[in-house]
Amino acid sequence: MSILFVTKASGGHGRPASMTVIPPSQEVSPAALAACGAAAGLNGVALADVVSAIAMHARVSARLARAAAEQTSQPARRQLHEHLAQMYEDRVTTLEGLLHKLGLPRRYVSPAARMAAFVAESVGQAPLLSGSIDAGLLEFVLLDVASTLAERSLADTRALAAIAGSAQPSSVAVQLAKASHALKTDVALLEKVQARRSQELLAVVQGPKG
Amino acid sequence: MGFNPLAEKGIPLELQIRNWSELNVAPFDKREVHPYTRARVIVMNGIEIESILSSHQFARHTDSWPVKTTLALLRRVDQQQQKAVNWLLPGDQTVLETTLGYEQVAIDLTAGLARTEPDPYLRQTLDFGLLEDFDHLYRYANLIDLIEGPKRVHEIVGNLTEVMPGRPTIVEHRHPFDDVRRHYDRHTVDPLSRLHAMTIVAAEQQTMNFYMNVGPTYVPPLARGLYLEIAEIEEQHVTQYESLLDPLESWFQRELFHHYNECYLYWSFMTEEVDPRIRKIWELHLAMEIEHVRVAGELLLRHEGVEPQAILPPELPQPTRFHENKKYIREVLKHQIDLTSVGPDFVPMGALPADARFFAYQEAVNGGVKVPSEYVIARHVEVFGDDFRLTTEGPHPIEVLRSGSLEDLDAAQHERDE
Ligand SMILES: [Fe+2]
Ligand SMILES: [Fe+2]
Ligand SMILES: [Fe+2]
Ligand SMILES: [Fe+2]
Repeated sequence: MSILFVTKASGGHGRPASMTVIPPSQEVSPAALAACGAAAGLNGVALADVVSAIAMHARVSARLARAAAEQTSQPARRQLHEHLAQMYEDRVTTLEGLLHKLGLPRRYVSPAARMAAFVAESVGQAPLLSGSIDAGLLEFVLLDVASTLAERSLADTRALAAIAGSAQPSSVAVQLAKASHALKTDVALLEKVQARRSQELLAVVQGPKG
Repeated sequence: MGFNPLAEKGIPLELQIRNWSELNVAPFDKREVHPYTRARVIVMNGIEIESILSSHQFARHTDSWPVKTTLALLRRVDQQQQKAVNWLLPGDQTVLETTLGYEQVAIDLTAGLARTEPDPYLRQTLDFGLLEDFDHLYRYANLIDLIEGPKRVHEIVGNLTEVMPGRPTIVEHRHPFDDVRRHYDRHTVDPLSRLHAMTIVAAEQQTMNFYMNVGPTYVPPLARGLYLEIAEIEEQHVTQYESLLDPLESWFQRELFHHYNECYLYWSFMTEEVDPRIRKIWELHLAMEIEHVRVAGELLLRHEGVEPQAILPPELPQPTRFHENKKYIREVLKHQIDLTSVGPDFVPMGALPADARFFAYQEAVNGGVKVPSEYVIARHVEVFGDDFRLTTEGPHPIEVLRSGSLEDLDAAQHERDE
């Protein structure tokens, strides 16, 4: 099972930014960051930012999919959220593997990854307002959150494909292409969540008139 | 094998509510109590209050019935714990005596945390604050001498904490921008650093609140002035220490960390408490907090899909203890007394350019008026011939702060200005 919440104990590493402090023992060396993209003609710091941010989005999405599976009262929905959770965990494995191949810690949480966590966790806070809606609608909110997270995952998948495509021939380019290929296999499920959201909205609007 | 609250069985939440008689505990005897027992009582009061206030803030950000009601229940129990803890303070302990206790906590707690803090920046921040609260104790000690008469200081702090000048309060008044600090990152922070940061925020926040409220209960203008001046520094300290917390930590994570920190400190204090009756309270509250951790962990799992064991260490870190820090404090005094800050960075006062915002702020609050923290020493010298000090380890490590005479303090001030 993937590590879905990175801590120091699970190998968390970082890079200090204007307001963040990283313990010296957990800091990724600037040299390693610069080097990781060099062979492919890419900016290593930025490449590591992107890959770690995509990984972080997948971690938070996996957690929220698990939580949604726990909270839903409909068995079919539960199954969908469980599938998503598994898919996101696989993405985490793929991306951590890519970071490792790039010569970085698997649990590198870059400044961009912190931001990705914040964005996804903010979306995941929607159910904190569950008292403002009908019980039936809570089910929809869980789907809404899943669909929003899927949107970013699809965008991440396209971004990694573009980066892999632009890499100069090198072992880094090969690894990027491999990871990108693996992420692309998730597109069908991600689009299914979005389609499900549209169907549900349609069904509600066409349903019994109140 | 260490202690892991997640592996222990606590008291079921519905059995945790106590009646008025159980909560209205007999206070300790202020003449008999060990100063560090008083310190532990003060710390746990601050810890419970912070946990309660954070829970109230959380509650204002949700209308989810299951979340809001669970928070209300946990919070009610923490409120009861706060009563059982703070009501240990005796009614014949004056506000100024309690104040000395608060500053002794600020000193020996901060020093204890700094000495075990794994992160260099957090440790530097703690050392920086330490010298300021150390000076507050000296100023209040001189005030209590003037207002309540001699011998009060020793009765409260014992021989455990020295009383002498630290970084002079008058130079602690910095521009608000210069009290903001950097923060740890939840993905790389040592669990002990997080507990340290949460603990010091709670302690400084209750000191801030205390001075904000008790300051005007005194009649003499000097006392009112000193409380308001130092209350403003405690605002700076809360600004400083709350900056250390990672804002990325979610409401559910914070809720879990609060109860976990309550567990950690009740457990720490239980093992070193010398008063058997009060140790029983720490034990009881630990048993309650184990359940709070479990319930907060359930909320986290249900709403964020995070297992509590994934974000908590496998066992509680080394305990936080109260012990003498005289030598440590003298070392920090020797090397860091002249530090100030520019934004989140610590720099020697002498390195500030003439147009630094520090000087403009200093002029705005100190310029052309009697500064209470200086005046209280001047008054003491006037009345008793010298200032009040309580030293056991020899002369002050900073030569210009050695003599208590007013002229020497003036000279020290001038030396700093140059
Ligand atoms: Fe508590
Ligand atoms: Fe203080
Ligand atoms: Fe303070
Ligand atoms: Fe609690």
